[in-house]
Amino acid sequence: MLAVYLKDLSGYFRTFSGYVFMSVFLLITSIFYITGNVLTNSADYNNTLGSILFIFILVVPILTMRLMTDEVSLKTDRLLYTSPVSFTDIVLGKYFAAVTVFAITLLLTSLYPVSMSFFGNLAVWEIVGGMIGFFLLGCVSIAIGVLISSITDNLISAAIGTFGALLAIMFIDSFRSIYPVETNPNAVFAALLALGVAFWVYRMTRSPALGLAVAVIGLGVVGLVFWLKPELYQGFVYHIFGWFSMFYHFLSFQMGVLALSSIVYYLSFTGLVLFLTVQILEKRRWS
Amino acid sequence: MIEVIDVSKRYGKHLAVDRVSFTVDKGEVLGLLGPNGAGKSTVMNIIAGYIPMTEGKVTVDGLDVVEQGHEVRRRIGYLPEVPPLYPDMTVDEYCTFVSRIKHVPAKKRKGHINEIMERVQIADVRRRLVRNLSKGYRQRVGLAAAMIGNPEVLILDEPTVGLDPKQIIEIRNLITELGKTHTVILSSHILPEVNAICERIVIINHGRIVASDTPENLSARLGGGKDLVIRVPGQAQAALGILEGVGGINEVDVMGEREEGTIDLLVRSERDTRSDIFFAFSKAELPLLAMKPFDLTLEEIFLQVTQDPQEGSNNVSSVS
Repeated sequence: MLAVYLKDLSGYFRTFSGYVFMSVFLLITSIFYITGNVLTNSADYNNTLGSILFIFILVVPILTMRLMTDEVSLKTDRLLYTSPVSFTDIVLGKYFAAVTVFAITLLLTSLYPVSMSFFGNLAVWEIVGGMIGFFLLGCVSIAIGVLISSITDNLISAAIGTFGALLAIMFIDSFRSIYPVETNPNAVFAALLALGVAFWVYRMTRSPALGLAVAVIGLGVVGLVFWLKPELYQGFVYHIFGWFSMFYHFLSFQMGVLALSSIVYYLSFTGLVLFLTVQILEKRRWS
Repeated sequence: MIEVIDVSKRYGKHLAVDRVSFTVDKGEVLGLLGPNGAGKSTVMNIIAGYIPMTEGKVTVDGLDVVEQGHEVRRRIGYLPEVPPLYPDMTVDEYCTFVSRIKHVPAKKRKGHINEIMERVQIADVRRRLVRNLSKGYRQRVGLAAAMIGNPEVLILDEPTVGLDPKQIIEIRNLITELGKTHTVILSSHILPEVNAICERIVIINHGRIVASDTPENLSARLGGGKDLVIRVPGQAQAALGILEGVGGINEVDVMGEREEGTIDLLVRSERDTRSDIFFAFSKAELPLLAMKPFDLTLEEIFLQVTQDPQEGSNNVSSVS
């Protein structure tokens, strides 16, 4: 793992991508710092952080689009896959290389609150909490970028895919808060979800019988619950999408609360995405 | 050391490799010979564990390539068709990276890399970026990467492609030397190359093994260089008349006019007839402008090894 980590970390600074990431990140944060804190005479740095969460949609693709696609296009995947290193080593090495570049850049932005501290009293621990949350949110976003970089074949689709995936996750919050909480529309959504799972099973196994069976069982369960205990569907969409709403979990950090549940959420989400990446790479190789 | 048992590889409906089986003994140098697209690289990718086979089984040192992949990869050094290089690294950085992923102990790393760089002669470019290297140097850096970690088995896919004649000889000598301590599989589409390096040759065409033998037996089956091409001035009639008087000639084919005012003839004999032909023509005062052994092109070799030996001689109508 260390070998891949060192290679990709130095790779960021051997090419432009590390510098591009840093400059775009610092440019956007500095604009928001100046307009949100300096010009408005506000010491609420966490509010500034909360208003630039969209930054991950723009900068994470810069960081992750090359990670796996470059290996394929340079045909260096032949070297990695025929060497005694596992997919876990490769994925973690690359992931931590990207996280390191992000961490260094984020550390540079801590100059903003430090510069404010010369002009008054800052709620230091609140800001530290906010930055930890910001860092964890970045870690999840980077994991998603690594996942998408390993399922796409070229740089452009990796970049657009990561951009789209993060954008969709960001919109989930708006979607789930406008979706009706009543029973009926939520039951319909559950039925659609069951059909979706059935279709996915069919695609993976290529067996129409199995897909049909999953569809029938899924719809049966949805219908049974609707008949027996319809109140379970109240707010179903709201809860299901809540699992993916990583930007929502930043709120507690923004208020300066180090909520254990949010930390656990970010770490497990990251772990799950990376685990999925390794599984997908293994499957793609042996099929 | 390496056992390939009934390996097939299917891409959709296309059968790239069709039930290929062969074994390589410890310390043997095996040549995979075949034209481009014959399935050589696919077979090598499967042995190196880069892609899975559709059917069949490959073991290295008794270990299954699929089931015990991690252990097998410790024993294999692989140079693919395109050397797997990072263009933004220097040769030094690249070799260090490779030695890390091959688990070369940190203390031995420097000495090990230096030794390999000397052997493949890339020490003079060690500080240069890979992207600025010539094709010959890139090929040798790729070869160095395969040798790092001193694996028992080396799989080299067209190791001399892109090298100049002097470098080709150097790399051939290096591979011959490596063959004394390693098990080597190398592929090529050049017959003299595998003839020079390999102890055994497996010929592949259209994904199938068409012949597997030692270079000596193989060239005996291919006519052993007793066939000659001669060039004489004028028309074919006169030359054919002279050649009729020479004993030991089985067959003469007229190959046509390659140079203005001359004619080329392919002479197939059962023994070495060069002196007889020379004296016969000199007696008739018809000068021999050229006489050279008839080298089969790879395509013609396939025609020959896949054909019944009796029919073999009738079929060559032109020489490239």
